[in-house]
Amino acid sequence: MAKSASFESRKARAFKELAACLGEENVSENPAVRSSYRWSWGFVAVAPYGKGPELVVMPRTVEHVQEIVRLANKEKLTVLPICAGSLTPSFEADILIDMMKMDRIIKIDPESSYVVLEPGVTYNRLIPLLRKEGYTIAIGSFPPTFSPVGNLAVQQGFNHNFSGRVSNQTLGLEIVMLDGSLLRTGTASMGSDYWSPQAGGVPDIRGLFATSLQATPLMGIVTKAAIRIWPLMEASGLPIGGFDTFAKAVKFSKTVTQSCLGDQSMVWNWVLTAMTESHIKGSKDHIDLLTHRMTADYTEPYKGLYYCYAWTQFRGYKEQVDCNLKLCERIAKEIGGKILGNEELGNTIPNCWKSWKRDYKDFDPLAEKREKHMWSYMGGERPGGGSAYFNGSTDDLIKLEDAFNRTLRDKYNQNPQPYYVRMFEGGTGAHLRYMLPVDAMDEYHRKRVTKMREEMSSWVNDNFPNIHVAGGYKRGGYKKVETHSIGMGSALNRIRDALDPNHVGFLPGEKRLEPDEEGKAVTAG
Amino acid sequence: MATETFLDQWVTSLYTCLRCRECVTSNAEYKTVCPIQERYGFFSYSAGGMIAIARSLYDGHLNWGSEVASVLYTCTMCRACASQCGNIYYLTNEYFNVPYLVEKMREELVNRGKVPPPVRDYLKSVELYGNPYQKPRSKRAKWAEALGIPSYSGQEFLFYVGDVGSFDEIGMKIARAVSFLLNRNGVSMGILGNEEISDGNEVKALGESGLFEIIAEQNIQTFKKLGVKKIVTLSPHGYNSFKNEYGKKGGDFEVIHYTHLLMKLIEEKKVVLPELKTCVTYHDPCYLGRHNQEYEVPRKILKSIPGLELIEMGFSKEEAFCCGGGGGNFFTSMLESGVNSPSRIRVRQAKDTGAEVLAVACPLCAKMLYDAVKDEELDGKLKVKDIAEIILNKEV
Repeated sequence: MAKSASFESRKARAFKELAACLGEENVSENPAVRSSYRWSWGFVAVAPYGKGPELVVMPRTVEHVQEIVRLANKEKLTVLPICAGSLTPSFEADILIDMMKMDRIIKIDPESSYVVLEPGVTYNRLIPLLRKEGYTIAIGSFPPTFSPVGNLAVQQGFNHNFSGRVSNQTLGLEIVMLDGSLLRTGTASMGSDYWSPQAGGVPDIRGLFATSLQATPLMGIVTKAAIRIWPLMEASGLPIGGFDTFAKAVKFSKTVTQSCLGDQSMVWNWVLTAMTESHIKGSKDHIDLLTHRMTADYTEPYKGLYYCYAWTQFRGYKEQVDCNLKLCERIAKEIGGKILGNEELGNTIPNCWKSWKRDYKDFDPLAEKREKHMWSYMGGERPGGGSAYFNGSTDDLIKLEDAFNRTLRDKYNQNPQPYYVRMFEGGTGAHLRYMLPVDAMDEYHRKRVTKMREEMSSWVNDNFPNIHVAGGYKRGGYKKVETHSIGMGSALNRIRDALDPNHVGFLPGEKRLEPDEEGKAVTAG
Repeated sequence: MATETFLDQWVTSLYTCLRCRECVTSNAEYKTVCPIQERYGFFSYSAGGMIAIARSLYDGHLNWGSEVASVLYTCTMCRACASQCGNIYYLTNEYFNVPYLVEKMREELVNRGKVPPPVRDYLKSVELYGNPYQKPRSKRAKWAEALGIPSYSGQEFLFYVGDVGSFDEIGMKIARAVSFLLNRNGVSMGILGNEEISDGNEVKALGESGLFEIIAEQNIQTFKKLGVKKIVTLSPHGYNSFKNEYGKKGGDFEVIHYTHLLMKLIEEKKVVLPELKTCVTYHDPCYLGRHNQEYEVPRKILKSIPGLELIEMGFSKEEAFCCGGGGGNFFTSMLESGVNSPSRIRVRQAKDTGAEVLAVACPLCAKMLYDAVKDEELDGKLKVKDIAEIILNKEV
C-alpha cells in the first residue's frame, strides 16, 4: 500500500520520540535492520514473509513498552511484539517491538514451583539454573535458544512435554495494555508477589493474551510471565512402545495418559523417527533419507522400523515408576504392541532413543552440546517443511491420519508424512502435527506445499467438523473466527474495541491506520 | 524475484537458515557469543540476520546501499557463529559459512562503490602508503631501532611484523618483545624493514579483493625475490593471510605464528622462563583460534611459566568472545566505542575471573583490550600483556 505523507510525518515524529525515550541505539529505521524482521523466528521454511516493519525498537523495561504503546496511539501506528520462538505472522506492523533485551529472570520459586520471566529469557539460560534447584520446565518442538515466555505463555503452551498433565503452563501474566496501562492477572493483580491464577473474585483472563502473537488481534504485550516448573524426582522412566498401526499407538498413549501414568505420552510415526535418527548423526545419511523420502514411492516403514513409536514420560518415587513401567508393558500388550527393550532400541534407533532419554528421562536437553542442535539440523534439511496442526479427539485423529495418508498420496503424489501426536489435558484430546516436506530452495515447491497445507486445512474443516485446525499465519486464521465462530469473533472484536480503540495492535491484513479530522484512528478490516 | 547475482551460489543458506539464533549463543555459557549481537541487539546483527539481509537483497526487497553497508561492516568475521550453527548444510556446504558470505557481500558493496567512509579511507591508505597509518615506508622499521634486528637476507625465518606491529605504540612494544626473545635465543631471522607492506588480511575481509590480489602478489614477489622459505608472523591476522590465502596465489611458504616458535624454544629449554606469581587469563585471538584452530600452544606457553596460574574465562577457545578488532574493525571502528563494545565486554569477562593479567597473542587484540581496560577504569587492576611480554617480564 502506498504510504501517505501523513504516515511518513507521523513515523518520523515517532522515530524521534522513541529515540529520545529509549535511546538512539534501541530504535532503528535502517531498511537492512528492518529486513531481518520479515520472517518469523521458527522452523517453518514456508512461513510467509512480508514487507517488514517500518521501525524496530528494543525496549529494556516495562516503562519503555508503555511509552512505545502510548506513542503508537498518539501517532496512530500499529505495534507488534516478538521474542524468540513466537510464531508471528509476516511482520508488517509499523513498529516492531523486539522483546529480547527484556531478559531478566525475576524469580525462581521452587517452593511454589514456578518462575517469573521476561520475554527475552531463553531456555538455555534458564534450564541450568532450574536443574541446580532440582527442577525442570516444559520443553517442546523448539531450540533451546527460544523463549519460554514466547512458547509457553504467549502461544498457550499446547506443544510441550508436560501437556499430558496440563497444557497451560502459565500461572500469571504481566501485560502492557494497548492504551499503555499495566495489567497483572490472577493473584499478582492484587499486588501479591505470589503468582497464581487461583484468585477468588478475580476472573481468569490469561487466555485473552495467550494467543495474541498468532492470527488473532493483539490485546496487549506480555512483559512478564509466571510459568510452572516441575520437580525432578528420585526416579524417572521412559518406556518406548512399538506399534504396527497409528491407531494402536494412539490408543496406547491415550490410555496411559488417562490413567495418569505420566506427564506426557507421545506418538511418533516412523518417518519422523527415521528423520530424527539421521539428523542427529548429522551425516550424509540424513540428506539421502530426505531425498529418498521426497522422491521414492514407498508406503511401508523404512529399514524395519515400527509404523509408530509411543513413549511415555514418568517422574516419581522409585516404586511408583517401577509400577508405571509394568503397567505400560501390560497396556501395550493388551493393545497389540510392545514396550521395546534396550537392545532393540540400541540396534534400530540408537540416536533417536538417546535424544528422547536426554530430554524426557534425564530432563537435560542441553547435555550434549552439538546434538542438542537437532532443531538447527531441522532447519538445514531442505524439506524443512511447513507444519499443519490439528487438535481433536483421538478417535477423530485416527480417522484423519488414515484419510490423510490416502488423500495426500492420491492427490499430491506425496509419500507418508512425518508427524507426531501429543496427548493433552489428561488425555481428553490430542494434538496431531504434520510436517510437510518442502524443498525450501525451490520456489515452486514452496508454493505447492503452502497451497497443499491450506488445502489440507480446508479439507479437514469440510470433512472433520470436530477437529480444530490450530494456528494460522495469515489473516484468514482470524477471519474464520470472525465469520464462523459462535460469538467468539464478535466478542473478541468488542473486547478489542474497548481495550484498543485505535487498533494499534497489529492484525495481519488490516489497512494502515490513518487519523481522521478529530485525530481518532480510522481503520478498515 | 531473484536476479542473477553471486548470491545464486548462496541460495541454500539463504533459504534453509531458520533464524533459530543458535548462531549467537554460546554453548558453554548460554550467553551471546556474537560480538555484534551483544553490541547492538537487533537481529540483523547476527549470522541469521546477515542471511536475512542477503535474502532480502536476493529477492529484491532491499537495495545495495549505505544502510546495508552500515550493518555488514560491523561484522568482525570472528566466526563465533560458525562454531555454534548446527545446520547440517553448514557441515556439508562451504556456502553456509556466514563470515564468507559477509565478505562476498562486502565485495559487492566495494564493486558498487557503496563502502562507508572509514572503510574507503582505510583501503585508500593501504593502497597509497602500503599501510593504513599513512606513514612513509622509511618509518616502517623504526620500532626495531637499537634492537639490532637485521634485514632479511637469507636467514631461516622472515619475521613479518605487520602494520600494527610497525606503527602502533602497543604493537611496537610487542614486536620489540617478540623479536628480542627470538633474537636472544638464537633464532636466525630478519625483517623486511622498508620493503614490508600490509599483509592484506583486513583488505580482503573488507571486500576489496582486487587490492588484496595486488598486495598478495607484491608480497609474494618480494618474499620470493629474497628467497624466503619460512615466515614467522607477529600477528595472527598476517598468519591467517599468508597461511590460507597466499598459497592459492603461488605463495607457498611455511608460515608459523610466533607462539609456535616460542613453544619450540621453550621445549628445547632455550628460553629462560621467569618465576611469576600471578594469575593470568588468556584471550584467544579469532584469527589464531577459530580461523586456524590453534588454541593450545599459547596456553602451553603460559602454563610452562613457573608460578603462573592460568584461569580460563567462561568464553574461551572456540567460544571465545571476540575483542571487536577483526574483519577490519580495528581500523575502521565501524563497531563504535561504548560500554557494550566487544573489547569492554571482553575485559569485564577477564576481570570476573580474578586474573591480574589478560594475556594476548595478537597486537590488534592487545590494543583493543588495552584501551578497553582504560575505559573500564581498571588501570592497575588488570594488565593487558602479550605472551612474549609476560615471558620477558620487562619492557624492551
